[in-house]
Amino acid sequence: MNKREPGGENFSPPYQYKIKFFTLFKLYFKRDFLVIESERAPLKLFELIEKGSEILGKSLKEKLISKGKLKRGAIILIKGKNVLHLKELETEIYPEDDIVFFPPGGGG
Amino acid sequence: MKSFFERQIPVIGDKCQNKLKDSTVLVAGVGGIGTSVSELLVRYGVGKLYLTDNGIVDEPDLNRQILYTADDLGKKKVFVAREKLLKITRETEIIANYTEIDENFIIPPDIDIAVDCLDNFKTRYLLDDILAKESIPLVHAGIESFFIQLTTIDRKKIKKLKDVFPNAIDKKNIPVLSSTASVAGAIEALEVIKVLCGMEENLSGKLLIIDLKDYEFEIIRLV
Repeated sequence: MNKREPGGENFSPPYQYKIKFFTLFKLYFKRDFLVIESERAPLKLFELIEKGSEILGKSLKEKLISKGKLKRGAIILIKGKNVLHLKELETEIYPEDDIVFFPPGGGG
Repeated sequence: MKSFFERQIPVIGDKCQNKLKDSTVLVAGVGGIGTSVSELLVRYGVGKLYLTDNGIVDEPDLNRQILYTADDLGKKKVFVAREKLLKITRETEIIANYTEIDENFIIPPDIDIAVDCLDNFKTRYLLDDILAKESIPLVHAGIESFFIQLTTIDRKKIKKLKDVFPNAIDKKNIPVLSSTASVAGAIEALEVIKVLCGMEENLSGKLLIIDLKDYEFEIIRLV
């Protein structure tokens, strides 16, 4: 069995997903990470954001999603890849994935 | 006999010092980050710098743009910067280019690497597109408030800036501290030296996020 799959040697439910917040998101959400637990793995990005919003309040979803799409300005990296180059909100995320949310600074 | 570089040669070595002397760098933007970057590249001994900016020195620049003083208000930044840099040493040739970076911007033909010291993503994307066609690496930094992100777009591990930041948005009058700009500039200048001298411990394929509020550095692997 693939160890990334539920029931694999390294993982069993509830699965934990850790979102790291950087820069202004860290200030805005007043934390540098958020751990989300789920009975399922993988989760899609929109599910992760929904679950995160249950903990942090609707501000998380409002910061990231508008009209069913990711808003411009927020960078979401899954294992170093921007989700806009993956499957956007449908991107599948595994519990051990490195999940990073931040708005890049534009100043110079 | 004392020499300008005697304190750094034991760190980087003669070979790297000679490589810097033979190198040409484009500094895109000579504002908060760009003034620090260009000063440090001169002090490192880079042989030739192109400074590109279309800005005028303005009062709100003086809190962080370290090459300018109140006497320079109203003057074109690139020319003031060149004049100040030449007072440090004449070892570096400095070409001041008072121009906007747009679709028609012509990259100087002899540059080895470019440094992104710009203050908006629209111009960053334009510059990166032009550089990518010539496979010229770009050291990127962006700042806001206490925060900095840096990476090197080496065209091998990462092809383009948009691979990492495809959807950044621009804001006007971004709040920023002088320390944030100077730290970003100091690290960008070091990164240029690392890339030019082939030091492996650089930011190719990595994103460095710096939080000066909590004094935290985080490296995120992009590949």
